[in-house]
Amino acid sequence: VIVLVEFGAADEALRALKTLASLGYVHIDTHAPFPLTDEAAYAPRGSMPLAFLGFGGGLTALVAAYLVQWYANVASYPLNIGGRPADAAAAFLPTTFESICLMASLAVFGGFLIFERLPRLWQPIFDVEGFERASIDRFWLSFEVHASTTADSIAADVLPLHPLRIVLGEERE
Amino acid sequence: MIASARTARATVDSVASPGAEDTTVVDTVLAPLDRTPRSWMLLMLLCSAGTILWVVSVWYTVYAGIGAWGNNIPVAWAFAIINFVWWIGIGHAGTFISAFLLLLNQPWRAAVSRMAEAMTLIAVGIAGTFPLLHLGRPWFFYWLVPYPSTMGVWPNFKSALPWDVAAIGSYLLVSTMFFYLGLVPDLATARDRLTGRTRRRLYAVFALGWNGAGRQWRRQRAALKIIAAIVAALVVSVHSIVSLDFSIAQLPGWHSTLFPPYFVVGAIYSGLAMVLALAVPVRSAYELQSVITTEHLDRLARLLLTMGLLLAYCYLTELFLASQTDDARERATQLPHRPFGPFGWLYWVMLALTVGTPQLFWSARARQRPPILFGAAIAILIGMWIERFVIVVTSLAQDGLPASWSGYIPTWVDWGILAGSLSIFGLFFLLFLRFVPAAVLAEVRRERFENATGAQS
Repeated sequence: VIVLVEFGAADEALRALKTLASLGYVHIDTHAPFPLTDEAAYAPRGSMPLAFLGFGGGLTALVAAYLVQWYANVASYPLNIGGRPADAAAAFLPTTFESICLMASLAVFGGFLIFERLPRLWQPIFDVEGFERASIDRFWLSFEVHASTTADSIAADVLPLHPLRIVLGEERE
Repeated sequence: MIASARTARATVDSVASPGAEDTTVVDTVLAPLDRTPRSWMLLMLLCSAGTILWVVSVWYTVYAGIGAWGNNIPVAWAFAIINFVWWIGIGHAGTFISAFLLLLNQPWRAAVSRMAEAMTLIAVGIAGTFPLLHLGRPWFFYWLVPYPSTMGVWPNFKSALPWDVAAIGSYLLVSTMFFYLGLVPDLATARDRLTGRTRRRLYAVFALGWNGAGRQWRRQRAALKIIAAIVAALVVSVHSIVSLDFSIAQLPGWHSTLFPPYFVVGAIYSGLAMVLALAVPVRSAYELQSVITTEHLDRLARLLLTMGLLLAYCYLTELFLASQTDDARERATQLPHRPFGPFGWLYWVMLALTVGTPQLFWSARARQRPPILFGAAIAILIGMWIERFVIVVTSLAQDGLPASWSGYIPTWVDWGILAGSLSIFGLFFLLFLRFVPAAVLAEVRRERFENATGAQS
């Protein structure tokens, strides 16, 4: 069972997040118009998969860009201009470097979309009445509880935190 | 108790909101998306007229060839390259403000970074048109890309022209991703806040289904930071590569190892000036004073002063290097030709505008007066354009072969393309203001939240 709790102010939601975590609720996520926790705002540990993707993209571009230039100007059609060497590593650097930046960024951007499974214009949570205000002026906490947990026990934990609403939902896929 | 999707939208405003989150900043930033002021329409008309001038000038250039320009031999590079370097320089501040200041955890950037990024995208796009037109046969522009063709002819990667293609192409694409990734949450806010079915759907498509989950924020911030780190290296490399167009040539006044840092400094300087020149009128026209505060303008002015001093240092270094070389032509270019040659008066105007103007900003009062800031920014922009004119034209007009020295007079086509490019810039910037939230809402709000609660990691 998914529990969604709506708050009217950011600090209330943040306090509730800490309280609920200390009460033993796990995997509490927030939905807010701006990054609510320090973790969300600064991503201190970052996202290693994204970083690795970027690194992979850059590495691919390093090899691919140099290879294309080498093939074009050395293997396929060498141009002798003023006796300069055909395989001019220094002259191939600018294009190689720019390609690395491009591919690494593309990989990170693509990785973000893939990991977040975006674009996904409709999601089950959008069906919750008033949830759209999570991008304007409301702050939601969401967490999962075992099906045997009674609504009363959740209410006992959540109500002292001054939520505006508590929504219980079945998980649907 | 999950409600149905259809009813949810209808009841947004019926939900009670006791003493809740302050949304003035949201409404302030989204307000321009809701109205079309008369001044906007007038500027739009003006920019459209200028754009028509651009189309006519470009059409005539393509029809008649680049002989329609004032270029001659030896002044074979002129307006097209000056404009190119000027525009791409302007396109550097967006990334400078966004990427560097994001990496340095400077939250104040949020108020102006969106505008600066949009400015970057438009300016870089415009910059790209100049080398293409200068190709002479722009319809063969795709020959610059190594695509497998039956001709078996490839670009020459030892030439600076394909370097420019790689640099500008990458910069444009990476900046677009950086801009869009930061924009998605604000598009989601627009999707949920604005009225009108079609409009909401349109914003919903571009918001990609953003749901504001903490995990999503964390990933977005991480992706933004990684791309910022890449783009920080990229931005320095782009104008360095542009400067190599000059410094790999043997021409006096161009052939110098100073050029990459010199150009990067000049680029960021002119870009910051453009940010100020846009931010000052926009904040008063759209009543964004509470978002883009005097404090923000003050900091931009300080940056401008810093960059102006760095640029002055580059000018001095250029003279110093010339004084140490035994290349007599280099010495002649730097000493009699530039300050006292046929274009000497431009050199002094350049010094007054680019080095003189920012000295105003030693005064805190000047830094906080929007009209002074606006005037100074425009003066610096003009000065930076003249700087590129001095670099390009003086070196060419009096090159190593005195018998071929000549003057240079631009034609109406040159002026038409320059004025037209300014209009296109205005056109796209006005569209940006009308349809895209102009400040990074999430970051502005996060900063205020931190200031209010003292929360910080």
